[in-house]
Amino acid sequence: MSARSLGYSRAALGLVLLVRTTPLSRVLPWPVSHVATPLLGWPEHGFQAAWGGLALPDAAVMALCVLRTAAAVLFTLGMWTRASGTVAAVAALVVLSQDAFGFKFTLYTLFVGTWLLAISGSGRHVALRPSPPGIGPNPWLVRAFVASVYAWSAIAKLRGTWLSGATLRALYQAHYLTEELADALFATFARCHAAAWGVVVAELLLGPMLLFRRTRVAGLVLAVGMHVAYEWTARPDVFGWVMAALLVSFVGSNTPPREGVEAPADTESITLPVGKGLEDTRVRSAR
Amino acid sequence: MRWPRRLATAAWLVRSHWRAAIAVVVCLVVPLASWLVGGRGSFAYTMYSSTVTYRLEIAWLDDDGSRHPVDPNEVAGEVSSPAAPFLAGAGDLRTVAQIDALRAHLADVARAACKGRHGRVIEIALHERSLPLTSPGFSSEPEAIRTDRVTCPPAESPK
Repeated sequence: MSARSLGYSRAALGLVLLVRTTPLSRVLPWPVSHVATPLLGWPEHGFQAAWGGLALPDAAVMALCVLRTAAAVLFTLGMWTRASGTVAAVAALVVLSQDAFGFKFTLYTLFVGTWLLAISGSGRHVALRPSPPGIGPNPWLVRAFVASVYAWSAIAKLRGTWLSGATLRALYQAHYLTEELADALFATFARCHAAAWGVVVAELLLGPMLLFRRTRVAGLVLAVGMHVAYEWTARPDVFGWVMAALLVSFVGSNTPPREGVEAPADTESITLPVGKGLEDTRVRSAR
Repeated sequence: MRWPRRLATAAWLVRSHWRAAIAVVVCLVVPLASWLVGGRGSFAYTMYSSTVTYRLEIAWLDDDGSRHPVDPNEVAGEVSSPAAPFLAGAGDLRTVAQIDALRAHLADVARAACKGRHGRVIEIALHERSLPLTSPGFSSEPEAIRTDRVTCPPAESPK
């Protein structure tokens, strides 16, 4: 089941990648996610602000934008998943590096998550062209990534200005936090103080809760609830959707197949583990 | 253990644990390094964990050295769409989650301001403070100022 979940996670994240990096983004209800150019990262006005001053020619950036989109289509459909996801992620990160102003953790998480899903065997299921069974699907790389995002996010908030509620209060007064729920949560310093601690505690708990089987369901409920609250109050681009797609990888078995081994129930063939001095041996399953 | 055997063992470890190695790099090394090297956690998922209040001053200098202010709103039309929100309305103090890119690329913004200006030199100053509010136990930090100055290319400096 976890192998199939990886396939669903890949399809969902690929869809988010396609929508967020193309004019399809204009169907999203929040303008902050809209791509104003033909593709995300397309050069404009000759303006260059590349990381470390390592600016590529405009033609190269345009080519990478097109390559990223084509690879994202293949990745979403599950065709040559490992290669297409890797190409999409690398092209996306290189394009992202060409305009430092365009860096958002939402995009960074989206692109890195795409790569990790690509190399986790997510093309084995829910795919138009399923990956060969050479490397078994393994959700732990993606799961570790999700847990680390929550952990690092909490660590960044372990400072006085956040824990006092001052940061949340400032974001509220700057209209980063809006809607009725924000009015209820952040109207006073005391409420901001309580909300700030609530966010930190939730983010600190989420990693362990998601990684341990016994607390995973509760962790998933807490994570989804937290992202719904973020969407309701802050609308942080498509971050909630990116994390929701990655959280799908937590659904299913806790014991993924070992490297090179796939569960016969899900596959047409299985691959035995390669030991010292042994050749890779493939055995047709009884199905 | 001899070196060839050590290398072979290391290669075997990488081959058999490559996913673990990638997990360590992506989940631990990169975020931690971004704290240790840059000091700001640029790759450590710091979203919305802090705020900064800032304003921009942009001016062009004529041949006599006189300064003429430039509205950041005008320059916003000369930069990329992700950069424009950092400039629009930045003539007055405003609060945002972070301005790492603006700090690092003041000169690039100044170069964008060269377009259509009569000056040969553009000066830009970024005034910032990290906490905009006087909250219980915390007071606003003193204002930090970064400046940059670029000479415009001749083709973009009409006489």
